[in-house]
Amino acid sequence: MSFAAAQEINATTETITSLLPVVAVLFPLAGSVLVLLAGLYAEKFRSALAVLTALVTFGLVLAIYPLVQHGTVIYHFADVMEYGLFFRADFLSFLFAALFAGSWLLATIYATVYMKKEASQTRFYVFLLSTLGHCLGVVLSGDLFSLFLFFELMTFSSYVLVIHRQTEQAIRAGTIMIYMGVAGGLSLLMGIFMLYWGVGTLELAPLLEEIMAAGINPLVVIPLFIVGFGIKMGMAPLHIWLPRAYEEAPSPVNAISSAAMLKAGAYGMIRILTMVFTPATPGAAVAGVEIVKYIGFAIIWVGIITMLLGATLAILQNNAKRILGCSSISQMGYILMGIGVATFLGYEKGAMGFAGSLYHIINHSVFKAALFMMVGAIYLTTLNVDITKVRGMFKKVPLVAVTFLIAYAGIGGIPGLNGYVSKTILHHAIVDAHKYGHAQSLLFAEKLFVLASAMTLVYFAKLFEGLFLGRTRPEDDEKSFKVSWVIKSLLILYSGIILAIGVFPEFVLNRLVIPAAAGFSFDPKNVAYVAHVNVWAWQDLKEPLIVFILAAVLYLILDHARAFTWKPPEWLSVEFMFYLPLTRFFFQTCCRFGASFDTAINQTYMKSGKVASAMCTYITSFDSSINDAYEKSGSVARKIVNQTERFDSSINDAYEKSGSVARNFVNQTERFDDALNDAYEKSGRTAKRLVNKTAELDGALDDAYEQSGYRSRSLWDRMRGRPSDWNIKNLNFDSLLMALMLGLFLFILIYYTKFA
Amino acid sequence: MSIVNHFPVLAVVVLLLFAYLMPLLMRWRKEWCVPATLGAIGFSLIASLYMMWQVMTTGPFMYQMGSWAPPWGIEFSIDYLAVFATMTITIVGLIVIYYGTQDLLHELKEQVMGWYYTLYLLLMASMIGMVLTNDLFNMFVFVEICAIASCGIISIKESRECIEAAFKYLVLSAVGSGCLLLAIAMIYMVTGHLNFTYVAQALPQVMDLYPLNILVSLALFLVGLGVKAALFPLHVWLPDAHSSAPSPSSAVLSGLVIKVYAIAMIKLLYKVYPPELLGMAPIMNMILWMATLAIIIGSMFAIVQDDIKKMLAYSSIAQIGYVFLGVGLMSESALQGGILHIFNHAIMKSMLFLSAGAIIYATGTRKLSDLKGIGITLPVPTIAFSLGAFAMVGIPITNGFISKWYLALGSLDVGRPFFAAVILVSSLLNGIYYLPIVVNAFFGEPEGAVAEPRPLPRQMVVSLILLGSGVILFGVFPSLILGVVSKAAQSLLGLL
Repeated sequence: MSFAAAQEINATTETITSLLPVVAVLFPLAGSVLVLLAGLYAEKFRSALAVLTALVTFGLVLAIYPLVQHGTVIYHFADVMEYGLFFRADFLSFLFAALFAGSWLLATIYATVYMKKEASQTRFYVFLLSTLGHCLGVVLSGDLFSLFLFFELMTFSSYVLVIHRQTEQAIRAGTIMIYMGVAGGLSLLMGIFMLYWGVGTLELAPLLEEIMAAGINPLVVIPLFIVGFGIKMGMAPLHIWLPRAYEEAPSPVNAISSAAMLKAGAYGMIRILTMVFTPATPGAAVAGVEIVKYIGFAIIWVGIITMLLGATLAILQNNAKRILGCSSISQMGYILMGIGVATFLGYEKGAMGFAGSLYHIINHSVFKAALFMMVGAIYLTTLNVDITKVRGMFKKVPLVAVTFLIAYAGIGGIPGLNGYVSKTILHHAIVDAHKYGHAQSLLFAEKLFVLASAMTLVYFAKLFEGLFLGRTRPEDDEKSFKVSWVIKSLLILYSGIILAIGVFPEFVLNRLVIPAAAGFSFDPKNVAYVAHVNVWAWQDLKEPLIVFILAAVLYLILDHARAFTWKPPEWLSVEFMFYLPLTRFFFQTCCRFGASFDTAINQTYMKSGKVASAMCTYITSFDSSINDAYEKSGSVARKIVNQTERFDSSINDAYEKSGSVARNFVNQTERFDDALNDAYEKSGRTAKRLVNKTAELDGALDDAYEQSGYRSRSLWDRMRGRPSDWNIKNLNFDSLLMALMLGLFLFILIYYTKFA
Repeated sequence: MSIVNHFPVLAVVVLLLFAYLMPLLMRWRKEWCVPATLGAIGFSLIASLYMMWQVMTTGPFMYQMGSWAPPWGIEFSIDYLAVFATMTITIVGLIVIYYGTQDLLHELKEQVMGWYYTLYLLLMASMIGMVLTNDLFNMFVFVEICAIASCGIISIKESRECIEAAFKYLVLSAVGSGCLLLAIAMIYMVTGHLNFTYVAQALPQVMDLYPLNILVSLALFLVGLGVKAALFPLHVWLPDAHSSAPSPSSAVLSGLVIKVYAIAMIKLLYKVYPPELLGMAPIMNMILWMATLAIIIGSMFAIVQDDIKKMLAYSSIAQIGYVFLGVGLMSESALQGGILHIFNHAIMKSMLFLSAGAIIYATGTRKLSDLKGIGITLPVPTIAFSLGAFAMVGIPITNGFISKWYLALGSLDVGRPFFAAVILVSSLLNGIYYLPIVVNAFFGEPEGAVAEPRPLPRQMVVSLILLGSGVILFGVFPSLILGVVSKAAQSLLGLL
């Protein structure tokens, strides 16, 4: 493609309003409903209907192709969800959508065989198709809001696929996946909030000038997006959900998740870094460009680390699916590095990294899906893919072994196969980054890139040796390894694609990758240069040779040191070092907070109880003193009466009657007095008993509280043991709390109010 | 003078009238109770919809009781916020009691059914009165009716926990009412008025003369309404009360009653107290921090619960925090978000409580750990529960997302991104306690009573479907409700 043509592509700005992207997204969703109905009423059409839906979706996506050649396809629903849903397809979107729909079609066909014996197939197909719709939505949406919507939906619908088997490990893997997905989604949402608040639009278009004008710091916003998309992408150190999820999910799900769902994260990353955070006038030196450049530099390194970490993990695994999962992490590192280079070098020289990562996305979708299908084909018979147990499959399934070798050569970057081209372009990119970016450390990065490629060869050698060579288990000898013709033809198709891309690399580069650069701010000269890059030159061809030798040496060393069977201690994992303490800390805080809250209340309660009992004692003593006083006053009264009586009798007899009346009266008073006395005594005793009772109750409650406090200290007991009673039963305390709050409010209000 | 002109007062009075008719009907015409209750609330719904139409077309208006002019007579103010709130109350109240007509049969003794309807109608009447009234003392009267009726619908289920919880609620809310009365007295002391409009006119003049009176009244209102709205840390009564009550009561208490006090707070802060005062006193910051604590700590408490209704009750504490967050941020979007969340949370939380009630009705268990596989045996309540859970987490296409969107944008508008982060962190916390339930419900093997549930009556299923479709409808087309919400926010902030 000539320079002029490349420029022309960059200049296409025509917008076409068409419902096609919307239909492409909605069709699989509608299809999933049909499959659900079929599952309920006509089970035999279910899988056929699913394949048909995937096929039509693929067709619909391909139908976008003629449109995106001329410009951007858009469709806008203004009234939905207040912000409005915005669909938009440019060439990049189309490329991703076609990749997704194609991979999905093949995976769905594969699933019709693979899932035959599994339970709840209807659910599987329903969610398989709805996930397709959501994935297409991610790449066909025109603003970050719609993208976020479909991204979240994808997280949830893919969850159901991952935990399909519903075993304990599957649920655990799914739990980690969904929490990380939700956390990533929220991080994304925060970034979206900040962007929307500052710029007032969420369009996927170069916005850097406006972002800087709004005073948003890209150093805050971009990391939010990177975390959000990085989790989906398996970026280190956010990759921990990936190996587990891959081990537990059925093979068709593995195929689509490495072919599509990981790529959805990469898509977001590309859109944010190389589109939204670039200046609207290509190549303009705006304030934020430098900052974005540094972020690009950081991403190159994150990519390199991801690459190496994934490869190291893959070397240490023994489960074939897990090896492939870790390999996906490693390969996503390549893609991330390419995106990093594109961001780092920006307008002038960034096209190489962009093209490399896009090319690698296509390639990885092909060979990783193929590899997962192969491992799945073996799993169907052996029901196990642990390479220390299941061995010697070469003799049993020779076709799978041969296609495996082809895919192996593809992913390993052997010249003549597809991986070679993308890895060479990526290698060019990292060399460019060193050369034009004036960063000495990137020289070292280039070396690590080569090392990671060698490690790729090593772990695949381990996988091949383990799975296909060696002696078969006795129980596997008896089984018949008849691979269905559907799977066979799928594997052959995939091998054909791998070979075809390897032999005709220019087709993919010039027809798919380079046109996708339209709309991105890359120097047309640079794009033209990338389009003409020659991957068959000696300095490129020698790289695989170096990699090969390095891999051989590495393999021998590792084999000698028995590193393949070495089980790393658990504390070495990121999960153990970082995530586990974090979650533990969180739950402990939750519980400790509750416990200390509990204890504080307990103490208040105890105190108030003590005060109450002290008050009771005081009242009793007061009572008894009153008693005494009465008694005394009673005797005084008697004395007085006696005296009065004497006085009465001695002075006047005439008053005898009245005297006796008085005596009667006095007697009565006395009796009354006695009765009162008794009553008081009794009430005093009762009060005392009450005090004792209260004290007892207090003690019992105290015990209960103490116990509950103790319980709350032991974490999981607290979590799952019995319902929590973190509730304040004591009214005293509640009223105290209210008084306290009132006091606090009054204090704050009166103290801090500044009257004018 | 046609009857529609009196709809504001009739919306309250008809409910009160039917409330007192219920025990009589129970004695002589038992089968009329349910239609009469539904009819009365239905009438209020029609009245509130009519008022809404009136307000949206011709603007807010005042209704004078018995045509007595304001300084002497009682006034109802039919503005955007009031019609929004009455509509929320009547719609949700109608759906909840329709559900309750079946659910209550198994939770209550037969002879108290009539009383339940009485209390429920009283509660509805007092809530509508509270949001419509434009008079401080009238508001206090409705607050008291509301408190008594709430206690009634908790303690009507004669179990130990219910009585205990209701007693606690009664005492605390009585203290709260005391605070309110004192606050009203403080205001009356300095202004000589009880009518909101007149008080609002008088306050700026007396602000410099009697600053302490006004500040004290503010603190008393905050405590009094705070304890009734269960604003952290005054929430202590809520978990017991909302979890032990019969499910329809829990739904209406959590979904509506605590919000009504929030609306009263909004009216007082934005319509009665002068804006200058709010600028000088740190009241909004206090509300903000209490709301933040409520959001975080309420969720933290909810995480460790194993009783489904208790968990929902703690979640309500967190959710009322959102409403107050919107109130405290003082920006248009945030206030919109807060007011919108009143409606959204009313739908979600009543749906969650009702679906929890349906699960308890059908299986008899209320422990979360026993609910494995319930999604297979009881699809409708479990799907409703899951929808509510997703809305709580704030997944797009549910209405919870929309309120969070506005709240977060509002917090950014006033330059406080910290609160946007709080909202997102709390979404994650919500996820931590809601999602495992959903997962367990759909991907576990049903055991015991969960495997063979009682069939659910039609009323329960219909109510759950109605509320569930509301969650989606207002999530996808929020503009249906946002019109009145944004008008309400604008008029409160004086932008209209």
